[in-house]
Amino acid sequence: MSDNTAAVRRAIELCFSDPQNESHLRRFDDLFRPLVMAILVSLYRKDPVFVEDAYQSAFIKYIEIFTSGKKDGVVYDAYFVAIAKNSLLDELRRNAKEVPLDEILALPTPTRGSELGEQEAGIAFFQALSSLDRRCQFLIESFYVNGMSQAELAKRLKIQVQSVPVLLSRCREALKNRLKK
Amino acid sequence: MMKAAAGRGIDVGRIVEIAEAIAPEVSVFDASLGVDEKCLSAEKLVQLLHQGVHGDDAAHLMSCSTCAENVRNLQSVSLKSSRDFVGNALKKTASERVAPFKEEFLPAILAISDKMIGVGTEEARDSLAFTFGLFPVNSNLDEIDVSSIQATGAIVSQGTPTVEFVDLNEDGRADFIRLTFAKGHLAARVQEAIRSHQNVVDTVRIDGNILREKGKKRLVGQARIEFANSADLLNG
Repeated sequence: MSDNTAAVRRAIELCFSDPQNESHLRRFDDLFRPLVMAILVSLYRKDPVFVEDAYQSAFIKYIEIFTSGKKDGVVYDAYFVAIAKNSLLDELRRNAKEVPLDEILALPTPTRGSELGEQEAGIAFFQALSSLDRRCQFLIESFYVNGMSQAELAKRLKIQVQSVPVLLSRCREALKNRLKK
Repeated sequence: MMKAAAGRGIDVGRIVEIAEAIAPEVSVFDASLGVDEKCLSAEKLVQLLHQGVHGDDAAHLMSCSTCAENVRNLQSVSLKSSRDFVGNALKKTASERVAPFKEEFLPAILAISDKMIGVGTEEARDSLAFTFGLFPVNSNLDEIDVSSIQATGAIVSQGTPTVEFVDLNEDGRADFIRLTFAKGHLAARVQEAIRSHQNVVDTVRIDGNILREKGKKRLVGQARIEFANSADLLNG
C-alpha cells in the first residue's frame, strides 16, 4: 500500500471519529481530491468540467456516510471512489449528456434486485467493475461512458476491430458474475 | 449560493453492505487507469504533475496515448479545493469551481525517459545534448513558440531546440512535444558533484512563450532528475 493510500485511510478514520470536524474533513479533501480527480478524468475523457461538480456532490455523500458511522470490513477509499464515479454519471445525466452505460445499468442482474435503488446499483456497479482486469475496465468505461467507437478501442488496445465486440461481451459477462457474488 | 447537486438520498446501510461484499483487492489509487496494467495509476499521475516523470514511467507515457490523455485532462482540473469547499459541503451548498492554474501560466509535464543521466566531466561543462518529452495542458500546441523554449536549473540549454510533434494514436493531433537540445551544460553545483563522483538529484525547469493575441502566457514545467558521473556508471 502506498504512503498516500495509508494517509487517505487515516484521514477517513479521523472523519468517522468526528464527522462535523472541518479540519479533519479538510485534511481528507486535501489528500483524496487529487487522486479521485485523476480517476474521474480517466473515466470521462471528453470534458473535465463535469468532474469538479461530481466531486462536490460525492463529498456531500461522504459526510453523510461519516455521520452514519463506520462499518467493519468496508474498504472506504474504494467505496468513496465508486460513489464519485456514480456522481459523475449523475452529473452527465443532469446535463442531458447521453450515458450509454445506462444500457448496462438497466440490465437485470441478480444484485440489481427490486430492493436496490438507482444510486445503490450504480455504486455497486462501479465497485464490481473495479475488481475486473484493467483491460475490461477500460473497455466498459470507454465504450459505455465515453461512447468511444469500436475502431478507436481497437487502436488503443492494439487488437482487430472485429475482436472488440467479442471482448466487450466477455467483460460484460465477467461483470455480471462479479455482481452475482 | 446555490444548492449542491447531491441528488436524492441514498440508502447508506445498503450500499455499505455491497461495498463490503465486492471491495477490490488492490488499492484503487495504485491501480492502472489506462488500457492495461502497465498504464499509470492515480498515484503516479498526481505525483508526475508535481515532480515531472523519468525512467520507465516516462518511457511509457511517451508511448501511450491513453496515459498522455489522462495527464492532459488531469492538468485541466484543480487538484485543490476552494477555501470554503468543506464548509459549503457541510451546509450542502456548492462551491465555485477553482481555476487549475494561474491565468498567466500554462503548466507542462516534463518527461525524461532515463532514470539516471550519466554525464562525463568534460561533457558536463559545455557539450551536453539532451532530449525531453513535454506534455502541455490541453491546448493548441501550435501556439507554443518553440524557439523560445529553454532549460534552466540543473541543465542549462544553449540555443534553440529541435522540436518533434508526436502523434501517438495517429488521430492528427499531437500528444506531446519531443525537444532535443543539441548543446547545453550542467549547473555549477551539479558539475561539482559529478567531478567528486557523487550522484545528485536536482530540478530541471523548462519555460517558453505562448503565442496568443490576447495576453501573454508562459509555458512552465519541471522534473527532478538524478545525475551521475558516467565513468562511475561504466565501472558499476
